[in-house]
Amino acid sequence: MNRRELLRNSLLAFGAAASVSIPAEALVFASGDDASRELARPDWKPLFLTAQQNATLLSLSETIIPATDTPGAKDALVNRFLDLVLSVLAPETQHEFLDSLTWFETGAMARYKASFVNLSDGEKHDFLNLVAWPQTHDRWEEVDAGPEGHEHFERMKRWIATAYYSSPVGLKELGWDGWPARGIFKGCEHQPDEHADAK
Amino acid sequence: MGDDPLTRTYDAIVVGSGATGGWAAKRLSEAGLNVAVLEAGRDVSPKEFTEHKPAFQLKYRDLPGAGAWRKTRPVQTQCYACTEYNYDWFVDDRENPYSTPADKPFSWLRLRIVGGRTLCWGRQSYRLSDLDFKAASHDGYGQDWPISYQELAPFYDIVEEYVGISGAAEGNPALPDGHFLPPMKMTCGEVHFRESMAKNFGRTVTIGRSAIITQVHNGRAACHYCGTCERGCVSYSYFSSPFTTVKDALDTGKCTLLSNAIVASVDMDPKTNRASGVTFIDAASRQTKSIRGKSVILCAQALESTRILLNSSTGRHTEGLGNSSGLLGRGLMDHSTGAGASGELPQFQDAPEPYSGPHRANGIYVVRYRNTSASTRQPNFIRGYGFQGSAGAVFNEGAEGFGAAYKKAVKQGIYRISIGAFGESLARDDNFVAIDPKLKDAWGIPALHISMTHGENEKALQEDAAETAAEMLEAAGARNIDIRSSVGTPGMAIHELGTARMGDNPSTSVTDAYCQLHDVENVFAMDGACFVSSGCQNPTLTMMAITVRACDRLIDRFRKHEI
Repeated sequence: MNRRELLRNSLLAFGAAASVSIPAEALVFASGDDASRELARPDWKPLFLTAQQNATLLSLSETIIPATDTPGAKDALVNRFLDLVLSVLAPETQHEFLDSLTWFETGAMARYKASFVNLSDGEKHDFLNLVAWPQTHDRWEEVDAGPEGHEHFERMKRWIATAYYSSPVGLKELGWDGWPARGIFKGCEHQPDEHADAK
Repeated sequence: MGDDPLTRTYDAIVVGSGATGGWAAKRLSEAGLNVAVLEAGRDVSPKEFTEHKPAFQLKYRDLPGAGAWRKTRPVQTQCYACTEYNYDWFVDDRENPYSTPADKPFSWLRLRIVGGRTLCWGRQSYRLSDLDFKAASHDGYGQDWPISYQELAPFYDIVEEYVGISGAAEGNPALPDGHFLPPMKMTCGEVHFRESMAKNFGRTVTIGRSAIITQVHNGRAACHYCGTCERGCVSYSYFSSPFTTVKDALDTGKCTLLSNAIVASVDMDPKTNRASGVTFIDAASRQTKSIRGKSVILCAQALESTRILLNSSTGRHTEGLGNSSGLLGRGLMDHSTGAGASGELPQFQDAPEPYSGPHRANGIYVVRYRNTSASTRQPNFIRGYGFQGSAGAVFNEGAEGFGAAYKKAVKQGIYRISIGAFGESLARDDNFVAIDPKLKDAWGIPALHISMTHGENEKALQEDAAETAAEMLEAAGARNIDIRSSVGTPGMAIHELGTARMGDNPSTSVTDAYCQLHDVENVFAMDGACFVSSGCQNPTLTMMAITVRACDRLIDRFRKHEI
């Protein structure tokens, strides 16, 4: 099961639980539409996040998925896409997200006496290293995080990775070249018995 | 043919345009009969296909919970194939309600559109064997089918040769071989798993037999491996009725297709005790209309066909049409799912295919190995299960950590194997559909009450499947094995079967061996409704073969002027 399916399963309940009025949506898609262009507008403003939350998310996302030899979360407009999605999700999901985001803001203030966005790159790495690994959380005492910090990290990372790897930038990272035709699936081309040592 | 289609009397009225309706339309019109096909949904156009549209072009990239459309389809979104790309093919749940007992949820996943579920079906295509058709004779439970494998085999041939099923012959009697196009290729991990299972357990692992063509076939192009069939196919490489059977039927000039025609009931002539046509609601105008025919063929999907019959009480048919046995609506089945195992195969190091590389919308299949002979008989359950699965390298978004190392690990991927069981669902008369006395759909047609649970046999079977799945993965050298052993909600296999079962005895079955109601000689239930037992194989291929067999019999009766 991939991450998208995991997310889909864990969040299914929200779609089912929500009720309300009939949306006036176009029923048939215009196949040429590209919704990602909306996110790139120069006059973009957040729909859901406050300016401070948006800044924290931007900074956190770029720390988790940085620009390397390929663009990172900031270039992928991860914050903008998540803001759009959050604006329409169920209140429980919104609260969960904000809880986790706020945990990083509060944690940065407690540990470094500075807001997350003002931490140096080294401090951000130091901070995330304390919560990024399942085996380190019992040594995390200064903010009294316990396993909780790791859970907040995992939740934010899931959202950020989902947004990144579904963006134009992220799909290119995974080998999207814009062409629809994919060629022939070759499969295993070994000779019989060549897997014999695979147990 | 320029006249009003409702002023004519057709030889056959086919209700539904999916896998079975398409075949009925094709078979009957090609034999020269005048056919009207009534489809409850709208027409479909290839312009709606979105299989090559990258996720970022969608407003919410199909993220769970996002998109106002989801509020219109709280049931349908449980289906893996119902997405932000194609949700409009699925029914609006508010317009199409049904009820269940509070403690017996049922997920009814369905499409109303020309082509029905063939637009986004799973395409896995397997023959049943006499282990299935004569299952009652093997273990004493339920009833045998009134047909044998030998009787149906020629019709499997006809369907396979036209549809195009890619696959490999295995010579395993539990899963008879068919007429296959060249099989899709297995990955290294799958080849290894196949060899390991043969060596360690004597079990057969084969490439999925799929209604995706691997070479040019009947004017359609070979699969281009984009991997997202459920959003349509620009080259029509998977079998979908609007572009194959329905198109052939329309090309004869003998077939009329009425879309947006929601059939409510079968019209009966009390003098002759024969059907005279059907009553339907025109979804566009909301007017009630009738269409006349010498025969009525229900291919609306098992539960929908039975609903129409239950809503057709008239004269001496007081409890629905064709229900003198009292069994109409009873014996609802849907394969049990939920058990399986997944893990990593660290001995394989291949990198994942790039996003724009070839993706195979098919997997492997583990052929049933329980209760297939005296030596594989199980003490605590009857019947059996098969597995669908796959092995291969996938991008590893779940990799630990963050930063540049995380990005690298995602791309490097992880080599995973996963198999999930489809188990037989026993036909039980206490699993049933009936008309809900209070609930109506948006067109005023009385809606269904669906009452179904998986029983002890399904549970025992899924538990065994979970154990043997883990045992097989372990034998193949898998690591970090995750075992799943829950039993899924009925309906989630999307293999609804039964409720108008066939048989030779009118007091213990609803239709005869040719899908004709015992009680009415010109009304037929030619879809999954007529199934006597479920087997564990994906049922669409069998439904289509049964339809062709029943249609050929009907054509013969027309030629002899019996209808």
